[in-house]
Amino acid sequence: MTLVTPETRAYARWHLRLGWWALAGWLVLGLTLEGLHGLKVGWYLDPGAETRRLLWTLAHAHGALLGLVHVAFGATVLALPGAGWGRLESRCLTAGALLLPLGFLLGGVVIHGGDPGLPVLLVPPGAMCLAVGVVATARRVSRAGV
Amino acid sequence: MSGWQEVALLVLAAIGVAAPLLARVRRPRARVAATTLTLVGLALLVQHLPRRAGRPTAPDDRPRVALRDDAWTGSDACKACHPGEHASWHASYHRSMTQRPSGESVLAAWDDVTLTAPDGARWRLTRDGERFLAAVDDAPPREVVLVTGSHHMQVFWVADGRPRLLAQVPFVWLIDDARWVPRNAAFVRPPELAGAPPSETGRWNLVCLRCHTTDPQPLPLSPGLDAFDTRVGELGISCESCHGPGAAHVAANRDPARRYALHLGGGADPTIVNPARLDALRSSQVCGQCHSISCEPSQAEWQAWAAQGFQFRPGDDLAATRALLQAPLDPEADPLAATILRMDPHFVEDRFWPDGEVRVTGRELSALVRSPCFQGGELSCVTCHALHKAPDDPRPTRTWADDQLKPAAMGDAACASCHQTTAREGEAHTRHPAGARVGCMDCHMPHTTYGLLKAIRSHEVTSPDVGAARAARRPNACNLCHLDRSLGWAADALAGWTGRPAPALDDDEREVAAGPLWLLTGDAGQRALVAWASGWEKARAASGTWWLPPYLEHVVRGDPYDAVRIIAWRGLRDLPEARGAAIDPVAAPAARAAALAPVRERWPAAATDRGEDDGARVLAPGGRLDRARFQALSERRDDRRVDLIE
Repeated sequence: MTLVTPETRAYARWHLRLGWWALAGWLVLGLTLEGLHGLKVGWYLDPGAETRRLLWTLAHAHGALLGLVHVAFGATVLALPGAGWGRLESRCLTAGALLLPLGFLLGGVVIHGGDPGLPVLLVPPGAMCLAVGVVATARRVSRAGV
Repeated sequence: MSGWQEVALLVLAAIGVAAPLLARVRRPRARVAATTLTLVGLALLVQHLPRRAGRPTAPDDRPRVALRDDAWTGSDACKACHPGEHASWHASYHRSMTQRPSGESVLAAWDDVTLTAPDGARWRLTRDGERFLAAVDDAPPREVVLVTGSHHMQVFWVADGRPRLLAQVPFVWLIDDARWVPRNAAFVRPPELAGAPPSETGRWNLVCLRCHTTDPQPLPLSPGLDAFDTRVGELGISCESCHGPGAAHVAANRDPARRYALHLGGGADPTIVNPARLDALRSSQVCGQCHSISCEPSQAEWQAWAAQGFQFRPGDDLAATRALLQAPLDPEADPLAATILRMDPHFVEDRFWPDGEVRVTGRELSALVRSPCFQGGELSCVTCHALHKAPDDPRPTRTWADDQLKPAAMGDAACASCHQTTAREGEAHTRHPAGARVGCMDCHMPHTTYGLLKAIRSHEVTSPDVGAARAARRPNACNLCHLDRSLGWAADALAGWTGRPAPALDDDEREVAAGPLWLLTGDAGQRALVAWASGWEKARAASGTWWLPPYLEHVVRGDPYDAVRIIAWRGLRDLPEARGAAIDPVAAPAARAAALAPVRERWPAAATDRGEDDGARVLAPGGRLDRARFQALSERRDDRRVDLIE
C-alpha cells in the first residue's frame, strides 16, 4: 500500500476545498434562483427571459455537479495516492469547474432574445478542459491497477 | 405519428408484455383466460387513447393549413430566437382570430344548447369531447371546423358539404355577456334583415380569411364560387403577416457569428422586415393590409388574389397592389369607384360619415392618413401601439392585449412627445381642471367609430367642432362626455375658447341635453355610439347616471336595431333601477316591455328624490320626466337605413 505523501495530501486538499466551496457557492445560487421564482421577478421569469432562466439553471446545475466532481477527485487521489497524479488532470478539472458554470452565469446577465451574452463563449473551452480532465483522470485510475 | 401507428405500437407492446406471461401458463383454460384478458385490456386501452384536439372527421371539408412555399416558415420557427415576442404574440387576440375548435378555443356554451333563429329554425349545439356539433332542425349534425374571434365575440363555421366551403352557425357568442345572440343582432344592420337567415356561406373562404389568417389563398374551384381549395399559411394573424416570409431570415441566422454581429452592431437585419424600423407610411401600411378600407384595384387583380393570395409583403407600398379608398367616391372620374357603387350603392355610407371620416372599426389606416399628425408628422400605428408587450411594461398581459397600446399611449405622453408646448400649457389648453381626468384623446380622438357592439376612438386626429360634427350627423367630442349638456352649451363653450362663431342650432339642440337628444332622435349609428357612451366611465363621471334610466329603457324597449338595444342594455343593467331585472334585449317586444317594468317603476321615485330641475335633460321641475316632450322627440327618431360594415 502506497503512503499518502504531504504533496499528494496538499494536491487532494486543493480539490476537496475547491469542490466543497464550489458546492456551497452554486447551491447559494440555487437558493437565489428559488427566491427569484418565489418573488416572481419578471427579469428572470418573463417569457422574454427564457434564455436567462435556462442559462442560470445550467450554471447552478453544472457548478454544483462540478463541485461534487472535485470532491470525488480529491477522494480518488487520497484513495490512489500512487497513481502518479499530475498537473494535467488537476488544472483541466479546475478550469472546467470555473469556466463552465461562470460562462453560463455571466452569459445570462445580458441576453439577446434567444441568444446568450458573449460570456457564454467561456463554456466551450470549459467543456473541453473538463473532458480532457475526466479522460486523464480515468487513465490514471485505470493505470493505478486498482 | 398517426393513430394507426399509435395503435400498432400499443399492440406490439402488449404482445411483448403478454408473451412471457402466457409462456408460463401451462393449463389450456388458463391460457385462454389470460389471452382473453389481454385482448380485453388491449381493447379498453385503445378505446381510451387520448383523442387529439381538432382531429378532422372530414379532412377535405375545411381549409388547408399549409405553408405556401419554402419562403415561409411559420410562427413556431420564431420562438427559439424571439421567446418574449413569441409569447406576447401568442397571448394576443391577433393569434386567436381564427382557431380550430377545442375546449380551450371555444368560449361559448355548447353543452346541449338549443337556439331558435329569427327565421324559426331550431339549432341544437352539442359536444362530443373536443368535437363541437351543430344541427339545424332534424338535419344530421355538422361538426364545427373553425372558430373566428376570441376577444369580444365568437363566430362558428361548419363545413357546408361542398369542397372546403364553410357555412356560418347563425348565432354569435358575446364573450363579455356570456350569451348567444342571432348573428344579425351583433351588428348594426337594418331591422328588415333581422328575421332573414344570414347568408354567410362562402364568406369565410373569400372575405374573412383575408384578415383572420396568415397568407391566405381562397383558391375557388368554380366560377360560381361554391367549391374551393382554400389554403392558409396559419390560422390567425401570425409573425409573417407583419414581418414577411421568414424562411431566409431563419436560414441566415443559423450562423451564430451573424447573429452576434447583429446583436452587438445594433443594425437592421435585411433578411426580415421590422415594421418599427420602417418609415411611418410603410410601417402603418403593414397594419393597413387589414386595418383599412381597401380592395383590389380591378376585377383581374381580384381574381389574381383569389388564385394566388396577396402580392403585398410588409415593407412594400400597399397602394401598389391595393386601392386604398376614401370618401367620397367619384364614379364619374374613377372607374373603380363606379364599379364599387354599382355592386354596392351603399358602400360609402356604410363605412364613412358624410364628411368622409371613417365610422366603422378595423379600418384605422384610412382614418389615420387623414390626420394632420400623420400627414405632417411622424405619427404611425406603432407610435401608440406595441404589437409585442415590452419587457418593462408592468401591466398584465391581458390588459396589454386589449388594445395593444404602449403604456405611454394610455395617457397623454404619446401626444406630448411632439406637442410639447401644448402639453406645457395644461389647463390653458384643455379648458378642463387638472383633476378632471380628461386626456388629449378624449377631445382629439373621440369615440365616434363603431364596431363590435361598442364605440372606439376615431383614428382621425381632429379638434372638437360642434358644427362640423353636426353637419356630418356625428356625435361631437364634447357631448360624448357631457351627455347631460346640450349641443348649444358645447358650441358656446368652444366659441368662447377659440373665438370662432358658434354654429346655428335649432331649439332642441340648444335646450335638450345631447345624450337624450341623440338617443331619442338620432339615427341607429348615433344611438349606438351614445348608448355606449352612457356606460363609459368618463362620461358617467362628467354627466352622472341618475338621469339615464328612462332613455336607456326607452331604447332597450323599442329600438328597432338589435345591436343598439344590446348596447343600451349594457349601459342600463348596472344602474340601480335595473338591478335584478332579467332583461333580454333581443327578446320579443312584449317580453322586453315586461322585463323593463321595474326600471320604469323605480326611476321616477329615484329622480324625484334628487329634486333635480334641469330642462336640458328633458326633465320638468321636481325631477319628473316631461313625457310630452319625450314623446315628441322620440317620434322624430331618424329611421334612415344604417348598415355598418365592420
